[in-house]
Amino acid sequence: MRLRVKEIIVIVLILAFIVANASQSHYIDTDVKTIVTAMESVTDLSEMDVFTDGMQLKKDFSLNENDYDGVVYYGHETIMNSEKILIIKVKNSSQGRVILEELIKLNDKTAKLFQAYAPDQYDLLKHAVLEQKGNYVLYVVSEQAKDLEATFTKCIKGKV
Amino acid sequence: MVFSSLTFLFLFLPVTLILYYVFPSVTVKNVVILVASLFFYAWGEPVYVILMMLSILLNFYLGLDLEGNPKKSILTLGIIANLFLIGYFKYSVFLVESINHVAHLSLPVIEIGLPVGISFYTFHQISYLMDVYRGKNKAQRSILPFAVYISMFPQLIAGPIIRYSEIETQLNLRIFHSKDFSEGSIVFVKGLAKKVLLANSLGLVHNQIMAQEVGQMSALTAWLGTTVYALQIYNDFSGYSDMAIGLGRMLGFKFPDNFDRPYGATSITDFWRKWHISLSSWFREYVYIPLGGNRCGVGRQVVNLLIVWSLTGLWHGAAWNFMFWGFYYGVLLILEKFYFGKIMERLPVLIRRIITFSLVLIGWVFFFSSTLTEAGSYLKAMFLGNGILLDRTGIFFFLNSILLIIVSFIPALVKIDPKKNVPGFLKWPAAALLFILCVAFLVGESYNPFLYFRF
Repeated sequence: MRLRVKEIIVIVLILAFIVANASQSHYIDTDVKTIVTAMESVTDLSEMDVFTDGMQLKKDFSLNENDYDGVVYYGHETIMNSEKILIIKVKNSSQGRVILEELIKLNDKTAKLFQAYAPDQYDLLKHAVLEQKGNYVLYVVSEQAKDLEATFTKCIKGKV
Repeated sequence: MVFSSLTFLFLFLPVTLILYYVFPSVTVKNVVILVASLFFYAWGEPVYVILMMLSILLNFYLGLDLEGNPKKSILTLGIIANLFLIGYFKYSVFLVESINHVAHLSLPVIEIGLPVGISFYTFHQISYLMDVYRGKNKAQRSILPFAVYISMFPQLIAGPIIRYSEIETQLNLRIFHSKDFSEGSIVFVKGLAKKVLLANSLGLVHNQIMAQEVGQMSALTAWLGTTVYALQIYNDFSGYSDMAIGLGRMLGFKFPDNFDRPYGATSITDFWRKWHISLSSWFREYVYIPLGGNRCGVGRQVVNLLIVWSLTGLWHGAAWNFMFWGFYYGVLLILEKFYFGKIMERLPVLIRRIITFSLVLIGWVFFFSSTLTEAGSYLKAMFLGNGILLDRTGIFFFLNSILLIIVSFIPALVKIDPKKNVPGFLKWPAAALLFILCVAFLVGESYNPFLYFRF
């Protein structure tokens, strides 16, 4: 086979890879409440407190609810239980990156605090899901973190 | 997978080295390196192995094509293809967001994962094609050594950027000495210690300082935060480079040095001869000189320097703060070259070192800040101290980290060559002790990021 033909074939394969990769990274515009409804089928959220007034969000993460297109925050009022689900629909992905960076730092800091005296909480925090997909930031500290993450991804890909 | 992980140290590396040394043939050794490197790369994000392999294949064919037919159009195609890949995966989000911001549009942003090491392997491949086109080296006729050159795990993820001509012979013919293995492992442990014992500890201090409110930070705390970061990034990145050089040596390769006591530099020009040497020399050879370099008028030289340094900044990350960081160095180098260079030369060496280091510290603020506004607030704290020169917090951080800072400065100022600086009988016990200490730190430590992985 001529060299030029081989080059063209490889270029076509690279373009096909990029198209496939881009379709994997495409997320639909969905409401954060829809995501939580889907998550309820994975885990029982009734044991957790729902923080709807934005005060707890400010207190726990120094974030202002009004800065975003949507926020859902489930957690516990007691600081001894670090289980939580936080979904933020940001206005643009750079805003998401800043939040994610802060959440990662906060999660590490909290994990260190728990390390010595609450190994179960430390373990949960060490395996927390912290990610940004499109305009959505997800922070989950839960035993079902992986399942919740999978449900989250399905929702924003329009598969739920 | 990172070098400073227990999986790498106790599983990946021993298995790879055993397989590597079991087979006498260089070809089989190359197969072992290639398979190990693909596995190493796939550990975090397997899907991008496909991209890297396709990219290797394309550049391999383009190299062969260029050798038989050194046309500018083929070289241009190769450069565009490589720049397209890095542009798409690394810069497209930044570009779309910048357009949206400036033109008040809302073009859709596709979140694309950054393939680890793409900045490094793209530069390897561009330099390879340009050197084949210029006739500096012949094209590699076999895919195996070429794939080993690009994907070799010691340098795949964070460099150093090695020219093909530097290891062309070694790819096909390597003579193994036990001395290479022993010296390589000592260089590796030196790098591991810089990373695990110094950079990680400095990182914790830096995070604690950055957790303070910048608007209330004293000048002492702000300068301390920058100094700690400067030492962290040096020990992190030069530690990684040492590990890469040491691993290369263990596999029979000789990679060039990437750092040479950068914080002892006496000018900004000197600093860039000592910091990330492989990157600055790459930009000089493949961008600055083709643009005209020093051979053109002052105006053109100034433009060339600003282009090259803005690109150097952008190479480090798709964000305005990185671009500004590069631009800042472009401006400093222009001022040094045309205005202050001669004045600097008349000053005592110590003063020149202090001035250079202070300018480098200011540069790091743009580097560690997420945005230019954040950098501005931090610089305000450094120079105006928010009205506070010293405070208890600053003194607390200073007293708690001064010993760590002094120790961390040593490798940035003094060339530590285990062959020369450590007596023969102490070399192995010292290396073993450092290794045990590193493992002890790694077992108990959750903070172990590699700063240069994001590039």
